[in-house]
Amino acid sequence: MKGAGAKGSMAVAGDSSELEWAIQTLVKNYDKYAGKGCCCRKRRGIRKCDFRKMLKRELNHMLTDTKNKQAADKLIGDLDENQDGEINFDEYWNLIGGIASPISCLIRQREENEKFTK
Amino acid sequence: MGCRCCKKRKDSQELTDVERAIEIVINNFHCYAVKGRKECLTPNELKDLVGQRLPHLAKGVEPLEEKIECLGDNEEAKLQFGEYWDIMGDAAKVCREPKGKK
Repeated sequence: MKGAGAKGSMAVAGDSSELEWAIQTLVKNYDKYAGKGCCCRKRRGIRKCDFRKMLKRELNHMLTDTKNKQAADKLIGDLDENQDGEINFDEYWNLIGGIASPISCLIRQREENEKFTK
Repeated sequence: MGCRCCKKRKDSQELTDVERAIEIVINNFHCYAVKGRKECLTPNELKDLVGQRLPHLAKGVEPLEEKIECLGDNEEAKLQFGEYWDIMGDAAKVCREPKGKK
């Protein structure tokens, strides 16, 4: 499982759309943290501690907003209830979605406000 | 579809790749969710989005019609952000397949 660094190496060719780039980036981010601590073993999930690190490093701007931070805290709280110990890809995707959803509302509100102030 | 979405925010250069990626996914949703209730995509808006923005990953979200049918009849069917995100998750799995399996 090496050599995944090349841009657009997988199913998506180099001319991928912006949205495809975004999805790939999120997938790569999962692989980056899921791969930690077990070099030659079968691919596993992200450990909770690594997920916390990931939130801090990769989402530090987005989580500075208090509302978003609350959402993240809740996510981590929910994680601790999960006895499984590792976060698989589906769980990871849901968690990121949980962060994205309130941001999505904020962006929409901002756009609405911009419309009125124009 | 004349779409001017994905406009860069002023502070976008400060964001990490992951944050920018999340913003792009969100912006695409808002860019296509223009009819009626703006916090939802209609089935046609979803079809346009997948057709135009996911040329390489569309196979991951097939059969799209089936997914749309699950949402209710065409007149009332609408996708909230969470459902859109789930569909993007299906598309994401296309990126993972080739190297995950031997």
